[in-house]
Amino acid sequence: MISVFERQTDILKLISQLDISPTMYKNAEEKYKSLAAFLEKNGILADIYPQGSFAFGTVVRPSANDPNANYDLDFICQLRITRDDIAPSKLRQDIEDALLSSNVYGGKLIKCGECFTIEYADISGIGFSIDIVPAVDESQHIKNELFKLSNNPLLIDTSIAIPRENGKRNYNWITNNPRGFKKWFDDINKPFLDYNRDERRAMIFENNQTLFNSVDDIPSVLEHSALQRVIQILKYHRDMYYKNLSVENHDELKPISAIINTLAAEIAQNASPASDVFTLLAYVLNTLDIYGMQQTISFEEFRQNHSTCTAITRENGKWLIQNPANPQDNLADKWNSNANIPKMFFKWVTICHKDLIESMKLSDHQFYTEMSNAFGEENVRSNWGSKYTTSSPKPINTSVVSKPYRAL
Amino acid sequence: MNLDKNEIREQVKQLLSTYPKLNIVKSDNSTIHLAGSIYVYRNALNYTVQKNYMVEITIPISESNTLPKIRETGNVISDNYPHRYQNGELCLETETSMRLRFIDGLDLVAWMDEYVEPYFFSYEYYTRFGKYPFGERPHYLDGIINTYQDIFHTTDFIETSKLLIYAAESVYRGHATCPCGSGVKLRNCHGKYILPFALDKRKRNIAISDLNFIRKEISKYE
Repeated sequence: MISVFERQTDILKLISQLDISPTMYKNAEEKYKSLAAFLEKNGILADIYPQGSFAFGTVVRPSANDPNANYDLDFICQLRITRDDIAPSKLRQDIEDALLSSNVYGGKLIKCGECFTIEYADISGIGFSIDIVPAVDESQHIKNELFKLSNNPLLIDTSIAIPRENGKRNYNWITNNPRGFKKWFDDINKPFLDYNRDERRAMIFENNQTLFNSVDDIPSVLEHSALQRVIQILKYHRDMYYKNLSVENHDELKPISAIINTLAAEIAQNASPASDVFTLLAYVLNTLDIYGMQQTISFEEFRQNHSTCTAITRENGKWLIQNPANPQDNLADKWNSNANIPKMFFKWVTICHKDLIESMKLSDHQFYTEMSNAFGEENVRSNWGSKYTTSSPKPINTSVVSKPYRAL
Repeated sequence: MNLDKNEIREQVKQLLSTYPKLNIVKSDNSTIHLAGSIYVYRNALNYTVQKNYMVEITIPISESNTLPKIRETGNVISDNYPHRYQNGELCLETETSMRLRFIDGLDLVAWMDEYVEPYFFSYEYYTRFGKYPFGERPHYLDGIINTYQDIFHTTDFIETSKLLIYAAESVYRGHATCPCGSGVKLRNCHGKYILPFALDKRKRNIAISDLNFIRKEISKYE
């Protein structure tokens, strides 16, 4: 039997292929820097910075079923003014006008509710687009309100206001805080990142000598701590699992990445920074499983027995996963309007545990089958070849297949 | 299964060589009982099942219409799974569907391949994703009607009933108007789905007995 360590290493190899590549990273960086320069030339002083998985170092190539899928990276374009200085529709219009006037951006601009999407030509065969969300600094009196409500008041200062469309070309402000979210995450991630860091950086350098002059040149976003790997594994597993649920509503039911980031980081705070990826993954999944008890027992009972578990609460029947940097943002908002979302979420947690932790005890062949189910047969086959098995299952002919009859 | 005893014994032999962990535990004039484990390794819809299941199989050898039956004895199938009878038998499919397939020459190995293994596949898939990979039959009368909807390629209950009545009670005439109400000649409409019932008396008998059963049950509500 192939050792657990080797199996885990094989899974990590699979996951690392979904990383943003150093080339792609450099490319993205150039793109958003030149966009900032372009805006400045047009009289718009803005800071453009990544948010979401690109900022967290947890990029997973989307649509995992399609190896040719696009990278879709999110950026905030924050003007150096506050909410009190401009109307939301004016902010949208100014950015749009500037982008449309450009030969470079005008032709590939797509507008959406909160952002502009710029689609670039493929880079070495991989499609690439960036989402730009216009924003300004949040006003001081709203920050003061948020400060009072927040569990992490020190993060509030970076709050921003974003125009969101609430009707045809009608915009109002919404508050968010991607920089605060990133700071919160980075603080938790730091000890995980520091552990064995030199070794990891040396490895990246060795594999990308043409891109970097020295180890010091490697941007930290290309490094992955155990915590970041755990998040990538969960996101990839999520994409594959929910894709199979049903074509019509899998996107509706899928837990958003912000939920996975928040919960994994929140739980990891109580784990040892020296944990290896799979120990940490097991710890995160076991803790999430405990949270799942709130589906059946009352919030009071849950709080009595698990007073330290506060990342997901269900007080008065209302699910709450608070955005750590924005007390007004309940990441589990949708869970309260569609009961299937939390139900599927906790079911998915159980399946992750079965696929990624319990499968280590199976025979090589069965392990391979479980991994094919988790990550897609083609992916697994192209990475591992016949290392674990040479046999393949007999297909069921779906055109003449039997349907089970329901007993009374 | 409408086969003679020797033929069935020959099929059992093939079954045992395909599933080497199955054994004959009892055999008499009317039935053969098998028990042991079967290895299911099947794939569909990007999902693979690879698992052993403990089962007991009862194969009728009297020349009757009785179908083979299977029970899962390893407590894998959850108690609240709706596709199992109270006595533990697995509801693989409607009798209508399986009988018609046996008439078309289905043997025991193919029965395992087309009904038993996909049943376990459906179970595991349902457990993982919360939905049936190939659908399911509703219970009781609706399941039988649903089977005929598949056979006749129809969706409407009335249309299906008219075609079933025709298959059970009329003499097939290709130039007659199709009973579905399309106004098109039968041979250019649902004829190809009805013809097998006209050509094989055993199939027609199945249609007759299902129709009688449906009529009897519906009359209870009238």
